[in-house]
Amino acid sequence: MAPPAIPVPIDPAAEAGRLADLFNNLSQALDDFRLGDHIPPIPTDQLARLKDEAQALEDRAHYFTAQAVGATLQSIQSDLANIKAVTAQANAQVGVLNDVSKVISIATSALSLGTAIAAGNPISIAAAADALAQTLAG
Amino acid sequence: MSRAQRGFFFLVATLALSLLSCTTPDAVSKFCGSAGTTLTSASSVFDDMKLSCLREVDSRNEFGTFKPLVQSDANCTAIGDQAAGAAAAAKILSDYFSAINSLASFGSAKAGTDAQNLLSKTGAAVGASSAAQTALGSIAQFLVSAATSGYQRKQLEKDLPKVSGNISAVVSALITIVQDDYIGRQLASEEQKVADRYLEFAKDKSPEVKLLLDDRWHADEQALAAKRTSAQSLVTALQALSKGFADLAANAHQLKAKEVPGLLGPYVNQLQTLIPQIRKGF
Repeated sequence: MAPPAIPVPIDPAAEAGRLADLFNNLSQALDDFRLGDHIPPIPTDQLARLKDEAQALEDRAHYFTAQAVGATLQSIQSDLANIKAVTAQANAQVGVLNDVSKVISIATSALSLGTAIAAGNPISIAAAADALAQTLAG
Repeated sequence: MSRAQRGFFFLVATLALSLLSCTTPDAVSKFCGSAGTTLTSASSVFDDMKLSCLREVDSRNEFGTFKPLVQSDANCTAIGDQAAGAAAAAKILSDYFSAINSLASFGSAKAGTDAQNLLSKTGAAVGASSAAQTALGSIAQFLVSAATSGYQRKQLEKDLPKVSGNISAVVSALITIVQDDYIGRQLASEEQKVADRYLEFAKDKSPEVKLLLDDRWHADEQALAAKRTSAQSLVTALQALSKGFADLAANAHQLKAKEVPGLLGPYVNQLQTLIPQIRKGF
């Protein structure tokens, strides 16, 4: 007895792409026929009909191209979700680093204010206090 | 200032400089910056997917009928909607590289500049000499880097390999869309239909008219060829981006190694060469 057939997974993007190619090739085949030399020549009304049919086939090709792109994007949605999550984490990590940097800036600015107070110069004290206030605000 | 104080400030400045001159996060930052710019450039290609479809539909009108350009077509709109999805996926990737860039470049630019600016203001206020102000700035930078570089390296080591497979999958999908759908289907079909339009009109025309049409067709053909070349440059750039990131993620645990800048350098150079070529055809 033959072993059961193993189903081959369908790739929606590839299948849609193949259909797009099929319709495009059919459309071009019609146009190649229409534009070729014929004896006797193809009547005008038939030429117009062939052109309309070729355009309708090309419309189908466009439809399946859109389907193919959509299917490709659908296949990466979970990848995109994971990348977005890690991006948010990395941005949060940069936020932590900014907070550390700000703390150090505040501490160093406070040290300068302490130095100004120890020196006893009112103008220096005011300038150093202003610098510290700007750091705390920003 | 005494000799001992001068010696102390010199030592601190030297230590700060040595800490700040670590080139590996800088190499990571350069790679991520180039990757982000590559992905931003891709939007020109994705925007042209709908336009290519409309140009093809427009080519169905015979010469001399003087019909207005086609503004809307249901299938072209559908292609445009999907192309917008591809551009959005490229943006998600670009945001990731931008975040890693911020993390990798932290301490070499913003934090150091902020600390330096602040210390300049306070140093001037207390009447410190310019040498002391510089040393104070170096101390602040040193303190920031000492406090943050370990955390920075640890997070980069985690964030890089975490999405290695995802980055590869998304880049591969974008390559498929550009190579198979845009170049292989849309531009190819547009090229055929534009040629058919000229062929149809040239039938039974004089040799002089045929020569004029030939010139016009060549101009159209060159415009299409330029778009195709730009799109192929994008494909090559995406392949380099994927490979470079895979190498970076594989070496994330040894980001301080001297080999890392050498590893990433060729990819950065390749991306920076390709980026203007991507933009050229649009």
